[in-house]
Amino acid sequence: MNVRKRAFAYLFRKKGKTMSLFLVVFIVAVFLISCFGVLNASKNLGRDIRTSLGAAFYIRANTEVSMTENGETEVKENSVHISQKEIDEIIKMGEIKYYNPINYGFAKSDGIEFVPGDKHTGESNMGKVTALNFSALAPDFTDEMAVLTQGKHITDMDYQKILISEELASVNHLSVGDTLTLTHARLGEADGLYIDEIPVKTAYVQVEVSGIYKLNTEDASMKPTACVAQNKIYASLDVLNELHESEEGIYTGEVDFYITDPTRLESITHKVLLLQSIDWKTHFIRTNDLGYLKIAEQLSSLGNLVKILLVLVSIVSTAFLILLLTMRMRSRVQEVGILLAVGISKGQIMAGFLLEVLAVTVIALSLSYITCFGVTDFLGYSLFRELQPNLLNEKTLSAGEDSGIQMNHYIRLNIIETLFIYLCQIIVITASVFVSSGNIMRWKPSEILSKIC
Amino acid sequence: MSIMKICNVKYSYDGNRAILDDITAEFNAGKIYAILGPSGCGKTTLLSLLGGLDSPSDGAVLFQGEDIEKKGLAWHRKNNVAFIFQNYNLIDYMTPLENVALTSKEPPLPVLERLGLTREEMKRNVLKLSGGQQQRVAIARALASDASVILADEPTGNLDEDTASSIVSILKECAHEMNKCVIVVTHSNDIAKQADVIMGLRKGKLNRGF
Repeated sequence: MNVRKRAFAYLFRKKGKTMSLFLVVFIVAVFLISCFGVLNASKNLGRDIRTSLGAAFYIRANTEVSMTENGETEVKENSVHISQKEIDEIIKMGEIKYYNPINYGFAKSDGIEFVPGDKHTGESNMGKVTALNFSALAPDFTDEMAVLTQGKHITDMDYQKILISEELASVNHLSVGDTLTLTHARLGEADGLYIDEIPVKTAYVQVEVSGIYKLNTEDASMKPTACVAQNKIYASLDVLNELHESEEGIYTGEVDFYITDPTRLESITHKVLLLQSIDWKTHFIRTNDLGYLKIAEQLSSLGNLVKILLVLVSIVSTAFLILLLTMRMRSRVQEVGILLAVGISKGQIMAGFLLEVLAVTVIALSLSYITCFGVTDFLGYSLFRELQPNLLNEKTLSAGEDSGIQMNHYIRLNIIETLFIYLCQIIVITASVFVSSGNIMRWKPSEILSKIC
Repeated sequence: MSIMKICNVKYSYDGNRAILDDITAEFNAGKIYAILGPSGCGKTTLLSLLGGLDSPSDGAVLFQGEDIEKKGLAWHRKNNVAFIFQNYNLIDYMTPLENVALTSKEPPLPVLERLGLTREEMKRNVLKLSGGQQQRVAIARALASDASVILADEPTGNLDEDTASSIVSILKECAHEMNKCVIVVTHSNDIAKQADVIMGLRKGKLNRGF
């Protein structure tokens, strides 16, 4: 009976012992792969967040509050007026990765039924248009109030593209790739009704539905149809220009700037405030570090914690494995004695034990590889889901794809890394077999037999 | 010419107290030898030296005139000798067929049949066999190895009288019909009476015709 037959006879007939070894190797493998996956993810996410849009500042119009001669409070809402020239001056300062100018307007379309709002009429059947360079950077998307569910985001390379809500798409049977013609509109109020202040239409633009988004919030307040959240249309900047509701190179909504290094935010905004071409009496800057510093700190802490955990797991699992194999060997002293007595060499006996353990190890590691997909995906989404808004990087913006994290990409180890971990485990297990059986193998055959006779 | 010989063999566990003291003896094929002696006198140690399970402190163990350490003790155990133990020493997760196959160069079935095991018993786990059947499997393993020398350490110690008698018959058959040299260490005078040569081990010395 050769080594292989003997080893497999033991594995199949001593099912309990085989299963206990299998479970230990399997659990340790899953744990190690998962820990290395988390470590990998924290490292790669940290790197990607560093190279993504680390911070932003927004130039917005302020509201002036003054007292009239009669002692009444007067509120004056200023509007933004930033031209491309001023934007170019800010870009020249360097360190600006993206800018996202926003214009607002209203639009209608024949045959499009907007989600009805307060006092809905045919005349007030319109939606609010937010025209911008990058829809993914719109606050609704960065704050996860809205999530793109189909199609692509709008980027600065797009023309005559829009994003609409799932509700609007559903009511009008629209899907990604469909085209429709928009015309200009302006929301007004007369005699208690909402009206369109542009009754005669002179401007039209044909647009294509680039993507469909889902709103994560509900607003039950009574609003005119144009202000209902589901009727919001995100459009490429040219759309409102075509509808004569904005002027090319002039931005009246707000202008957002994105930089990569959050630590430079303060000094950059300080320099911007020195620009004379912008009227700072009517404009102000709001800064937002997008939570980078907090997240970077959390990732670093998580990485350190996982490293400690990995060291502990490696030590404990190795010790446990040696203990388990030693106990297994102790229960096989008689077998060793018998095999020695019938002339089987120590090398062959060791080879048999090693073959048994490695056969179980290979099966356990193979199954752990499959199991790890589920475990690491679960861990990835549990631990890193909150980082989604902070991963608006160049790739996702320029491609216009959904910026949702593909956590598999971060937390799953590649095949080389996985094989390296498995190889280390096999080396540790092989060494454990030698350590655990070494004590018995050092005895003389007569000493072994004297212990069993 | 003797098949096995021990020449001036000495053995001590702690370097001082000699268990075996300058023993010389010869063993021939076709004979059954019984080695008698009180407990702790070194019978099993002598068997271990003959079987290559241990090495003497001094002297030599020869097989067909050649020192067994020359080709290695494992080689000697594999090719020249076979053991039968009091507690059978079968591998507990194997069937009789597989236990015999550990040493067998030929298919193990005929030798087990010759020792009276049925085909159904041959495929059972060895722990599900009676003591007598287990000892028969142990003897089958020894016979299947084709070794010239069979070393039996209290082979009937755990068996009832009838079974012990049948086992002794088998051992005699091995010696007289199969021309093997059978060396039995025992306390039993009944076995000793059936041996061709009786040796006594006392105070480290081996005396023939005990």
